[in-house]
Amino acid sequence: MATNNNEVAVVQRGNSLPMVRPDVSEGFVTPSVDVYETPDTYVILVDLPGASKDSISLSLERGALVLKASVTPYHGQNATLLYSELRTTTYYRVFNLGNGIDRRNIEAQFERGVLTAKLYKSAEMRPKEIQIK
Amino acid sequence: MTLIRWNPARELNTFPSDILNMQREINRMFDGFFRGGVQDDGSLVTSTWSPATDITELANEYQEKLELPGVSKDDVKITMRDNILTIQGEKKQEKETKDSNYHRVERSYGSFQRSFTLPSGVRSDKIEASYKGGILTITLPKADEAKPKQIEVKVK
Repeated sequence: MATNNNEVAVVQRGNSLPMVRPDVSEGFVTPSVDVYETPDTYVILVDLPGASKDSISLSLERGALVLKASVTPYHGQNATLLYSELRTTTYYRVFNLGNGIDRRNIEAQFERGVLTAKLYKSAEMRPKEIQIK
Repeated sequence: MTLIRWNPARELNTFPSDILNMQREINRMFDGFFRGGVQDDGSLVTSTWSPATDITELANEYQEKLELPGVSKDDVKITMRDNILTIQGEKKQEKETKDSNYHRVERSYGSFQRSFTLPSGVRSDKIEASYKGGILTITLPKADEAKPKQIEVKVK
């Protein structure tokens, strides 16, 4: 079974939910992503340069976080392209969330072209100290 | 499996071009390390990543856009020398690294530098730059002689 490089599994263990497959039929770009873990959260950082804040959609679908964003066109009609590397395209990435994430408690902000999504761990996943009497 | 007659002469023919290819690959690898160039104090600039860019020409100016997500304005330096525009800077890691355990790192960090030779006739004193949504936009107004002009032809 071929693995899809677009999908990111945020929590490896206990992921029994079916994977969400990309449903974007037209061409899209997979944005670069950093994922790190703190005692209370998982933090996802996504590079979305050129995306307009209004076009960003972050939704929970069948246990997966689906991110879509559109880039606002870089140039007007009367511009002559001398050199081009940028693509006016759609960003799309799927994050499959395993168990242990509090799905009602997800925060996201968009600043300087970077989307930061904070996912809080569910209570039983947070490190706890057990007192010995 | 198809049987093909083995012609040792054919393999000898490709041998020198294979060597050339290998040399080209090694050259390219080394060039990639020193993508930066030389700074004013003589030190070599090595850049870790290269921001993607578009250069366009409008009637009265050139415009350059670079993808620099998550970079602070203070960490970008734009210089113009002769007709060469250089953008360099550094993308720093987010501060929250204490107690963090990284699962995946795909984004580029570290220093970057790109230089571009622009067509002649740029007013260096009027260059402006703005940074929004992770995109750095540099506007370079054309010097008067570079602007398209209508030449009136009088018909006698």
